[in-house]
Amino acid sequence: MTATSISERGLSPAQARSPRASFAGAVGSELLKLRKQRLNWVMIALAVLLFGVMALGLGTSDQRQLLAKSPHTFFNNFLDIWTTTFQIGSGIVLLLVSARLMGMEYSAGTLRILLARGQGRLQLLAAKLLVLISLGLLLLAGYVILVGAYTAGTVIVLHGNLDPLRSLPPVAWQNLGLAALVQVVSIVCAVLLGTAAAVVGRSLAFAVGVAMSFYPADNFGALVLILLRSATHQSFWTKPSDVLLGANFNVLLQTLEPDHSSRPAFAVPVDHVDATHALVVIAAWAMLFLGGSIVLLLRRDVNQ
Amino acid sequence: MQAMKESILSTHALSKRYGQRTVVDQLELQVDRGEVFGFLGPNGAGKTTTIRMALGLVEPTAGSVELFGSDVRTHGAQVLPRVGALVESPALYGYMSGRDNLRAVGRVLGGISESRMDEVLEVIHLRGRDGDRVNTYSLGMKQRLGLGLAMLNDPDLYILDEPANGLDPAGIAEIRDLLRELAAQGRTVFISSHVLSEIQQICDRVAIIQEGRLVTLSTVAQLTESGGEFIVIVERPEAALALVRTQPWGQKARLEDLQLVVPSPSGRGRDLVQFLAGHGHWPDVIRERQQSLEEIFLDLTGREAR
Repeated sequence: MTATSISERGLSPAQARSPRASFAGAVGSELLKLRKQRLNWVMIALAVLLFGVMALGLGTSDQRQLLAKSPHTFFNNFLDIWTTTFQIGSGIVLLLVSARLMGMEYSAGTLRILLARGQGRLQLLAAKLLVLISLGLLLLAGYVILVGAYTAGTVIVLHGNLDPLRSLPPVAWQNLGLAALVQVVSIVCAVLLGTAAAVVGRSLAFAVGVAMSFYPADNFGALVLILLRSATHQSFWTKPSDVLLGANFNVLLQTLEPDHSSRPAFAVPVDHVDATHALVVIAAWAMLFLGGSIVLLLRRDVNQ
Repeated sequence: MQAMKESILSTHALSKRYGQRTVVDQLELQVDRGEVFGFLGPNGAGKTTTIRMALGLVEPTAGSVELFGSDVRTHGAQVLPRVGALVESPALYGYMSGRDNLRAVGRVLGGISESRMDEVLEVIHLRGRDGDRVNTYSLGMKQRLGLGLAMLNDPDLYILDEPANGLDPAGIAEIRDLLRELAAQGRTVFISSHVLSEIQQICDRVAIIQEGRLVTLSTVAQLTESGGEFIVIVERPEAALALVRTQPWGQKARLEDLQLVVPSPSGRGRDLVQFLAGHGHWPDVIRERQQSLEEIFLDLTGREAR
């Protein structure tokens, strides 16, 4: 960096001095950050490995008889298992990735670099959310292809052709579509939760800690409320469980399905809730995460 | 006719309070195009908070900051891309390479080509290490990369908070030369640093703040000028001092390390020599007394030199 180095090496001011900031550029920057995080690739590799192990486990169980007897039940079982697996697996990955992508900006202090160069706070948040939700949808698309291929392969191995799948009633395919829709809602919620945790805590450690413990605490909370109701015989304890995010997510698919065939995993609201209630509660939580992130990001000083 | 000065950065009654504590208090500054402006103050004086307010990171409690004539709060998206900033320690994506750090910020700025990144990497001497993860860099290398990020789109204004942090003497000299070169190209540099000797060498004007308030704002030349005082070495300094003090112009004369510090009757050294010699005190040495910026800083902020 000598005095002559700039002119000698010919920094090209005309080229450099024409900034063309755009939302697409901000998204590109976030994609780069995401792509360069090795942990993300490790998690995806582990997820694929886990899928393989589960697929082998399912393949060894006695599925042939069930397929011959009731293809619809066979299909519902598969849908239950793979939907729950994706919801948990993608949830962990997206919570972790979201918390890290936003939290690192605070912990590394890079937030001040980006904002000091004129990137808008809302633009930064929107770019991150877009990239993260796109990642979730990409994971879902890949998962659907993988599970679809596995299911078709299993049916062919067990039955010799795809006739059992072709014989499924329309409601089975409707349930499949609803399951995919619930996963999309789950993806959006996980991204918003992970991001909000980072914005609230303004630290990577806080973000990851809160994001990863939210759903376990939420599900555990529902169980505690059930125990409290049993112990005290007071129906008062059932009310809070009706507005827990995890509990409503667990029951959402079942309430949406015309035949209510899926079996919720983990805790559900103590009172019976319908699809509208579950969707309203989930939307309220999502708005809280998004609104909280926007307000805090806009209003707070950046001292990191 | 004097060319009209163009204000690049100005603060107007800028204040910041955290609860009851006032960190910046009614600060008035103006930095003109092409200036290298030093911003000094002891730790906790409010320098970094002022810089953060100038960059739109911290909301002023009162007053405003204008960059290129526009309020940074309302026109940040337009004016901040024209500012290259380095605030405190360099903030970088440690898991990415140096070049990827440039890419990440370059994409946000838009229109930054790979060849431009090559140029910047060349200037900051990181060309051979640009593929390495930043976590493996030394503090000096990180500092240089931070400067590289600031330089990426050749901004009109550089706001640099302690740019010499972590650099060795050669690195500090390089930064000094770089800033001079940028100023020569018409860029404006607003720099906060503890290396006062460097500030003295490169800055046109300096502002010194303490407890959030402006203590002085002046050109470096004015601050460090002699004030008409001379240092004189004579054989019998006490006697010479007593003699000088009998004169109306010599009331402020004093001894420092057995050297006579004395104003001249006319402001010129030869008149002082003539006076002393005329009374039998032939000076062995006489030189104009110049204060260093460090001395002035310590005087103004009431601090003891360590």
